[in-house]
Amino acid sequence: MLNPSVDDKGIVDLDAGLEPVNVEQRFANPKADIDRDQTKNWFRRVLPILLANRRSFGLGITLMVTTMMLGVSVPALIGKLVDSIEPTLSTGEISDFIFLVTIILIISLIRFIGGAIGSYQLGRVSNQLEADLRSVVYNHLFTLSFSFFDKTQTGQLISRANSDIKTIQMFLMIAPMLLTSLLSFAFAAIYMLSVHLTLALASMIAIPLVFFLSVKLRKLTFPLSWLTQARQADVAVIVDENINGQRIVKSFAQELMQVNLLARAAKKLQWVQVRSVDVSAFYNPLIENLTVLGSVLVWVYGGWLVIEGEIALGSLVAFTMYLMMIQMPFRFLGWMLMLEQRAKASAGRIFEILDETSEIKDKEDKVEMKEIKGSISFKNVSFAYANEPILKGLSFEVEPNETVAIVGQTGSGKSTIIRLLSRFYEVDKGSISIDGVKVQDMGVKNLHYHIAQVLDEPFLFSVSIKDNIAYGRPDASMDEIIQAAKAAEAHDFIEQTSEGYETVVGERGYTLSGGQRQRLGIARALLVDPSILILDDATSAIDVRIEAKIHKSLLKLLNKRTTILIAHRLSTISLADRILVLDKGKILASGTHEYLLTNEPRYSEILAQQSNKETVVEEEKTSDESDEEYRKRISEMVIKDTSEEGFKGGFDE
Amino acid sequence: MSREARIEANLPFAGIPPEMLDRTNALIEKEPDFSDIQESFSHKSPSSRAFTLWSFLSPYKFRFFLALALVAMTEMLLLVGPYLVQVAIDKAIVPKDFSILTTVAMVWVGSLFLAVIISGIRIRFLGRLGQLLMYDLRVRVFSHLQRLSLDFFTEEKAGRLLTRMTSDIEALSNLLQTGLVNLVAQLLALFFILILLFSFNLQLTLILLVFSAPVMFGFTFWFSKTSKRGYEVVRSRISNVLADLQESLSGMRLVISFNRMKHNVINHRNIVGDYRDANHYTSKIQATYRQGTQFITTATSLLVFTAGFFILKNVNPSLDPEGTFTVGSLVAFNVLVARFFIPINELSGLYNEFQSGNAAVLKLRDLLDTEPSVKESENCFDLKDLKGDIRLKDVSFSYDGNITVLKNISLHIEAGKTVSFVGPTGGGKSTIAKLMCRFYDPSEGSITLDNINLKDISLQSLHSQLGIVPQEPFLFHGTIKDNILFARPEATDEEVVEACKAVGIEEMIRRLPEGLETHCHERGSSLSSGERQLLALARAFLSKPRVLILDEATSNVDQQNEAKIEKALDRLLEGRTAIIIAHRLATTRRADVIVVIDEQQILEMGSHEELIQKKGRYFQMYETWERQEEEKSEDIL
Repeated sequence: MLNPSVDDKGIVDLDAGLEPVNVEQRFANPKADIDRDQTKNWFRRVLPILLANRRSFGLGITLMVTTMMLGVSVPALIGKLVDSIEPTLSTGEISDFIFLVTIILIISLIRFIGGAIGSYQLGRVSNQLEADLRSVVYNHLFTLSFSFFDKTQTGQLISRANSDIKTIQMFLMIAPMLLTSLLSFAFAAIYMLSVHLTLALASMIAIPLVFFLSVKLRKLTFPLSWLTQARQADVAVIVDENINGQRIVKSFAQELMQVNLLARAAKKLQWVQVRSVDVSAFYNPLIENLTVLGSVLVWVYGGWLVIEGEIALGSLVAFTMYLMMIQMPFRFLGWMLMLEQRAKASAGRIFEILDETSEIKDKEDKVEMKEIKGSISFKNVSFAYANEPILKGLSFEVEPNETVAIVGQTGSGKSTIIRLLSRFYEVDKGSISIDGVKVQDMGVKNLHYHIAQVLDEPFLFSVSIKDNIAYGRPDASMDEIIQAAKAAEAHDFIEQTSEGYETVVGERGYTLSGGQRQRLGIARALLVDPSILILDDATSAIDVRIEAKIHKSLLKLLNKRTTILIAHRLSTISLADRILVLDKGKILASGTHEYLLTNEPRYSEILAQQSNKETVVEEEKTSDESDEEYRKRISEMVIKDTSEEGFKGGFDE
Repeated sequence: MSREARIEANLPFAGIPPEMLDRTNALIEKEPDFSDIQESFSHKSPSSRAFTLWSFLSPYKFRFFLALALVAMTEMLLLVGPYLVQVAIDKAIVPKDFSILTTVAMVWVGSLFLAVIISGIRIRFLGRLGQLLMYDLRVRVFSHLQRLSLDFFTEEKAGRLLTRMTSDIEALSNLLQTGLVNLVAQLLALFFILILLFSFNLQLTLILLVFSAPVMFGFTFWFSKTSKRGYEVVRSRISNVLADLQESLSGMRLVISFNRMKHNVINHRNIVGDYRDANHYTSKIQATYRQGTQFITTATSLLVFTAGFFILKNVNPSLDPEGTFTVGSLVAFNVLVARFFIPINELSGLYNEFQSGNAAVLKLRDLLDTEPSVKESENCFDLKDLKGDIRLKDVSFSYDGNITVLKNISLHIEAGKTVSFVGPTGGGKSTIAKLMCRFYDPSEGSITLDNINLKDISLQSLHSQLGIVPQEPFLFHGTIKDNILFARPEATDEEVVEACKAVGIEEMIRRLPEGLETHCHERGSSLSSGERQLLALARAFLSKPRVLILDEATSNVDQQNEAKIEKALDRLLEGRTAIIIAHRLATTRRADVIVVIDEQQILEMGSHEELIQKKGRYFQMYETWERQEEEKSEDIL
């Protein structure tokens, strides 16, 4: 089953051989990592990824700057063209005129092609950077230990990996373009100032005001659009609940109450949108018409200067064109500065994840074991979650090929034992060894290679049933997969699904019952044929009759390996050669079912409590979506992501 | 919304950046409560007219035309500038007349001033009008949803109905506030600009129309179509990226214990790579479009100047400022050309907006034209003081006229009696309950309540005296108290507490950190399904119905709560007609009459003792059930 390793310069240290891969890599890995030096500022930390794309970046910047400079000459040349009309008409010699037209046309064409390539290159760099950051964050997540995931919410991680990265991308896309257009402003200003100092200053008089007003507008807009979205989500939540709870609404004749509830939310939405309208009604006409004020001054004051003979008419034409060109960047400058703030904050949040390191690492001189016998030994193991002691000096031994059941109340530390055995967490005190080798001395992947576990809520990926079963051994043959499915009593129901083994399941596929998922989980573990098998409440949701059948096939399979069972049902416990009774982080007793029934009074107590809990525990999982997650889900359904289209027109139009 | 604002809207609930926190809080504080809003609701549709864009707008037509007049004014004011450029050149600069220059300055600044004011008024006026329309539409569509019968609300429709109320209305709002007005505004602008252009020079305008305009129009049209497609791809690919991320995080433990990190890393890279490629594509389109419009504009200027030059050469070689075509006209013409392209860009960009707006109108029309399958009759009346005597006469029911669920059921339930329906799933017992509530109408036969045909009773009065507790206890977002109060919002706090006591959840609620004010959906305090069912019972208790229907309402209750439920039922059923549909035969035993239903009809009917003695179908069911109960208790030990 050991796959040849795929060449990888990567971010994650991937041991060769232990990791089956059944996908072809179509895109190269990120060429660079972020700068791990936490003292540097955010931009310098991202810089290595940017520099890895320096060819595109350099090409883009060079092209943008050159074409901008070429572009700046166009208005001046058109001014010249206007001025050449009169002399050309009087002399009748039109070749100079045509020559000028041709020059301008060529320059514009070069600017078109160069500018398009340049800004496309810059766009590519920011897209590449976004993709690389996504991969770097994703890859890093797999290097973290479970204590990190315990304290971090999945939703938060996803939002960081998504909108925060997007914010950085947005800034790095806009900033170079805006900076080059500011460069064009500098050139245009130099030209204007050199033509006529006071006219140039007069025509630019409105620009600071435009800048100031745009910044102000943006500051006012943010809270409004934020609140608009929140109110839109409110409306959506009311509608969603109303549709799903329509029967209740009708049962209690509460239609009017619901209409009023919606009316109130719709009124709030109306209120905030009217306020947005008012803000744009004040600022937008002002900003747009202030832009024209410069032109008025050019034509009136400039017109006076033409009459005085100080400048030519063509210069006025050029001036108006320059004014259009240079005002745009100023309308966006304030936005870019704000975006920089936001990108900085976003980068901070992403670095928080990337700066996280795992305490669980392979040792330099790790022991690699090809085969193991499967003896397990816990010696004086203590462990605490967030200062709450779970295991207190726990010791026990498991012989090779022995089947041991662990019984104990909720919170007694059953699941912790298997998490420590798989080294998802590090023990605080004591040691755990397999075949006499401490788990810390083994390579983590080597350790996982020998252990397979089935959890009470087995996770299924959104792939076919076949691929889910073959998850641990993608190279398994169809026969082996069917065999494993049969052993787990899953074959029959799989055959009944619409596409059999090819049916896609998981969050985005066919919905299976808890019992069916558990059976797939068992099949998945059996296919790996591990030396140590862990069944953590793995049959809790399976019908009693089917469970009995599974046990029959399990009995045959368990003899060949060491098995640890965590179970509530007596029927499952009876599979074990020996039962460990766990109480308050310690082993209370150990022995067969009959022995414990007569000799250990706590044993029957614990069993009774466990079976009572069973039903309750399952029910509590009906709805654990928090308010925030629910709102988010609904609002994502209804609020279309308009971000990409937002920049459609650009600022240099 | 401005373009920048739309970009910022990219971060839904990603949090408020710290520098914006104060402003946002200040805004939220200013937000009115609107608790005094009172709409009205009737089960009868207020208007029989089909929903069209026009029928929707017509009540506001006067205001709409006023708005259009304002639009026309602003568009005309925009042209003052280019016209004044021509005047300045031909009347002032060339003849060297300072006084005219001053006039030009004053008129121009005046027009700008006027433009600021009129545009401001226009935006405010139209924006308010649009928001008012949207408010009306939201309430109208939502009210209509309340009117529709239960058979309309199938699960597959839920998501689509939500989009009717949200993105479709949003699309229509965009169409009205920006799309429609923009269309009119841009068409007007185009019209005015063309008049002015023609007045400057006929031939030059024709050259512009023949050579430049189609190129610009086609180019923008190409852009708006391809970019729409491109962004659709981007959207679907980013959702792949996020779904994969989500799945990897949820299945993290599995990935690590099966050593599949490398596989996942490569797979994610592929998905991210596809997403990047989609982004590259849109970047390419955008870069081409941005630079392309610029090029077309410059090329057009050159065309205008060259053609203008030759026209000048022909008609006015001496450049007489009084001539038919002058340098001033040429320069002004060029200034106007840049403006001429704005409507062209906008018009072809409007295509997408129109498509989605029009689609939204059609979808909303479909929804609003849907008639409820259960309608109030014309002369229905409010039934007061229901006693609870129910009679079914030869009732048959089939879904969609095909699948027969009930056949010729006749049954009399006396007021105050408890009747229990038992039988296998799909036998039709829940359907009887739904028919009694008039969630559906029987295909044949009739149902009377206190000897009045259900169809003659107003839905409001029927439902307010009838309580039904369904199998899946639906809880709304909000506190426990809100959910209990749902049945009767005007009930006092004491009554709520009493209802909780009646069903035995008072103590459980008191233990919660926030008691009755605890949110039902919040993580950590989520209720077990047994507790939810008890809550639903409390809700039914509060409504004090004359007829109570429990549709498998106690099926999910766990052993711990079972005793509580039995006690709660004692109080709930007291003095009212009750219909219990149940799996759990323990609940059934208490009924005065047990009705066994299977294969679309009544098989047996009688009290528990009678049916047990009869040794028929009920006897069999009861025996099996008792055996299962024993096994369950054995399984514990």
